[in-house]
Amino acid sequence: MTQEISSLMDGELGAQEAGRVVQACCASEDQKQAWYVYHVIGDAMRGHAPRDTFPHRTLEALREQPVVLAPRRRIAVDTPFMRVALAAAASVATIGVVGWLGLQGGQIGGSAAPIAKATQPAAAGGATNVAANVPAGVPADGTVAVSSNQPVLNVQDYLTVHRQIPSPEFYRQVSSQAPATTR
Amino acid sequence: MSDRQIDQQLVERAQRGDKHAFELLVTKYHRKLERLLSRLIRDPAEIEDVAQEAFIKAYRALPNFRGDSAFYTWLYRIGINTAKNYLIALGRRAPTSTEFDSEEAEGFEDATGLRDINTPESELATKQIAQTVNDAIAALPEELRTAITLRELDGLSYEEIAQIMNCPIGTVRSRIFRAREAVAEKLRPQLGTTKDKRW
Amino acid sequence: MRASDLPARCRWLPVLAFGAACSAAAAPPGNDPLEWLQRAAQAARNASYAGTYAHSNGDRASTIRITHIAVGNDEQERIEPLDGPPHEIVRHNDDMLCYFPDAKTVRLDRRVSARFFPAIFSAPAATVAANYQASLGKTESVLGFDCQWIKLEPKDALRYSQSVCSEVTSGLIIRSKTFNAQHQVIEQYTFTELRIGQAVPRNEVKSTFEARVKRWSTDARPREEAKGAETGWAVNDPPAGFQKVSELHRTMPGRPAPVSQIVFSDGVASMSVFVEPNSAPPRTSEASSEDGTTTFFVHPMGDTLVSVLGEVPLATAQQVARSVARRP
Repeated sequence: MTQEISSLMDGELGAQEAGRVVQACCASEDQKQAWYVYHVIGDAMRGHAPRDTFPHRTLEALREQPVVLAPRRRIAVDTPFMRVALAAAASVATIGVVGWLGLQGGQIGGSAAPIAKATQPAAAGGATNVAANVPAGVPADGTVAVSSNQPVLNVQDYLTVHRQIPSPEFYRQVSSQAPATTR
Repeated sequence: MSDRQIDQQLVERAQRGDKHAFELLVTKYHRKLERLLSRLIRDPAEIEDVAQEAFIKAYRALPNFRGDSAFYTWLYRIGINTAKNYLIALGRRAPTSTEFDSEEAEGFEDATGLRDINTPESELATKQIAQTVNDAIAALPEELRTAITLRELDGLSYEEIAQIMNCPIGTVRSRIFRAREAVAEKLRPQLGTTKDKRW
Repeated sequence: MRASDLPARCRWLPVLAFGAACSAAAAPPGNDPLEWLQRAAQAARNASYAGTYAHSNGDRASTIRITHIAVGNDEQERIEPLDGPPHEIVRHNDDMLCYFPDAKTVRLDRRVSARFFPAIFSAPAATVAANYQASLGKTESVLGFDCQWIKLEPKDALRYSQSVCSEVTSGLIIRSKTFNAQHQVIEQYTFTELRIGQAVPRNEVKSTFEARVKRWSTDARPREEAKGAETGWAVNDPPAGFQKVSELHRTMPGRPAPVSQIVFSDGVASMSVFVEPNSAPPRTSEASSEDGTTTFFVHPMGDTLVSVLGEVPLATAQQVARSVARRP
C-alpha cells in the first residue's frame, strides 16, 4: 500500500486506482504517516527547512466538518460555447473540453492563413453571379485593409475540419487536466 | 505530471465528496502554510490555530475553487486573509498587502534569511531533519538515488525517468518507493508525530 | 468503392510470391489508363507498405512516416508527421484515432472529407474518368521501383490537373503532383523511402504514444459528428462532376454552435462547404485565399456566412458558395 502512496503523490496512478488509494490510505495511521514523511523528504531535498508538524488538530477539525459537495465544478470552463459543445456531446463517453480552452476567440498556433485578398470573380468557370462586394481600397499586396472593418477569418479552423487532422497546438495542454470520466 | 495537476486531481475528488482527498492536501501543505504564516505571526501556537482555521475555510470554500489557479495559490490567499483578520481581531497591525502578492505563492521558497519558528529546539530539530535526509539520500544505492532525485528535484514523470534510466516504468516506480522508504526509516525516529507534540 | 467492387478480390502477396495465384488485376494492366487508375486506387487500400514521404503544398512542406497493412478486408494504418510536436494518426478503415501526447488528448474521427496519400482516389475509375481525361505518360525509376505516370487532365476549368506515378508491380502511387491552370506544381507528394508488399509487422501500425500516457483525455465529438446530420442547407448548383459525399455538423473553435459542413468530391478533389451564422461581427464582403491546393472562399449571405475550402480552383469555390441556399 505504501508503494501506491508513493505513486499517488507523484500523480502516477490512473483515476480509478488513485480513487481507491485515496480512500484506503486514510484508514490507517501508517499510511497517513507515509504520505506525510514522503513529503517531508521531498521538501528537505529541495532545501525547504522542514518543520515537523503533523497536522493532527487540523485533521480532527476537518473530520467534524460536514462533507462538502461541489460536483458541478468538474467542468474546467463554464462558457456559453462550452455549454453548447457539451450538450452536443451528451452521448459521448469522455470529454476533452480542456483542449478548447486556449482557442476561445484566438488563432490556433501554427501557420494560420488569414484572408489574403478580396477578389473579383474569375473569368473562367462560368460564374454567373457577378456581384462581389470588393471593398474599395484593398491594398495591392493582398492583405485585408483594417479599415474595411472585416473581421479576420482564421482559415486554419476550416482547414483543420476539412483535413481532419488538427495540428498539435490544437489541443493545448491546460495545467488542470480533468481525468477522463464517463458521463 | 506537475504538482498543480496532482493537486487538481485531489481537489476534484474532494469536491465530489471525498474528504480523504482533502486530508491528503492538508497533510501535504500544512507545513508550507505554517511557514508562510510565520512571516505574519510569531507565536507557534497561534500559527497552528490560524493554519487550522485557514484549512477549514478552504474546505468550506471548495465549491468556489474553479481550478483557474493552482490549489496552493488559492490556499495561500485564504491563509493570508485569515492571518490578517486574526491580527486585526487581536488589535495588532497586519503587514501591508503589497508584501504578499499572490504571485509570490507560486514560487514561494524559503528565503535564506527567513527565520523559521524560533525556538532553539525547533531550529535544531529542523537542521537535524535536513541533515538526516541528505545523509540518507547520499547513502542510497546509485539507481535509487538517481530515481528519487530526478523525481523530487527535476520533477520528471515516471515515464521520463524510465527513458532516462533506460528501464521499465515499473522499475522506476519501485526504485522511488524504495528510496523513500530507506530515507523514511532513518527519519521516522526523529519525527515527533505523536498527538500531543507541539513546538 | 471498396475492393468488393472488383470481380475478383486480390490480396497483395509478399513480393517473393508475386505472380502466383492472383487475378489479372495484379498484373500490369497494359495500355489502358483506366485500368492503371483502378489498380492505383485499390493498391492504397489492399497493399501493405511502409515508408516516408515528403508533402509540399504551396509554401509548406512536411515529412510523414506511414505504415499500412491490409488484413482481410480491413486496412490498418499509422501515420506520423515528423514535423512539429509529436502526434500520430492510427486508422482502422475509416476510423481515425489522433494521438496528441503533449496534450494527453486522443481525438476520434471518421474520414469524411479529406484527401489522403497515397489513397488519392475516392471514387471508382469510371467516375474519375468522367471528369478527367486519363492518359499514360512516361515511366520513371523512383527509389528503385519502376513507376508509370498517369496524367489526368480536367475536362473543364473547375478542377486542377493531376499526375500520379503508379508503381508497376503493385499499383501503389509513389509520386503525385497537382498543377494549376498555369501548369505550375502546387502540390506534391513523393515517397523518399519505401518498402512495398513485404510482411509489415503488425506492431508498426499500432500507436506508439498510447502506452506512454497514463490518462488520456478523449475528444470523441468529431466521430459523433462524422455520423452525419441534416443541416438544412443545400448547394443548388454544384460544379459538374462533384457529388455530395457527406453532410454533418462540426464543432469549431469560438463558435457558440456547431457549423454545418457539406462535403463534395469529384473522385480526386474534395471541397467542404461551411454554413454558419454571420455574426460577431458580421462580414459584408467576399474574400478568398489560395495557397497550394488550399483554396478558401468566403461569401456572406446576409445573416449567413458561407465558406468553401478545397483542392479546387477559386472559380469552383465561388460557384459553390454562391449557390448555397436553405433546403426547402
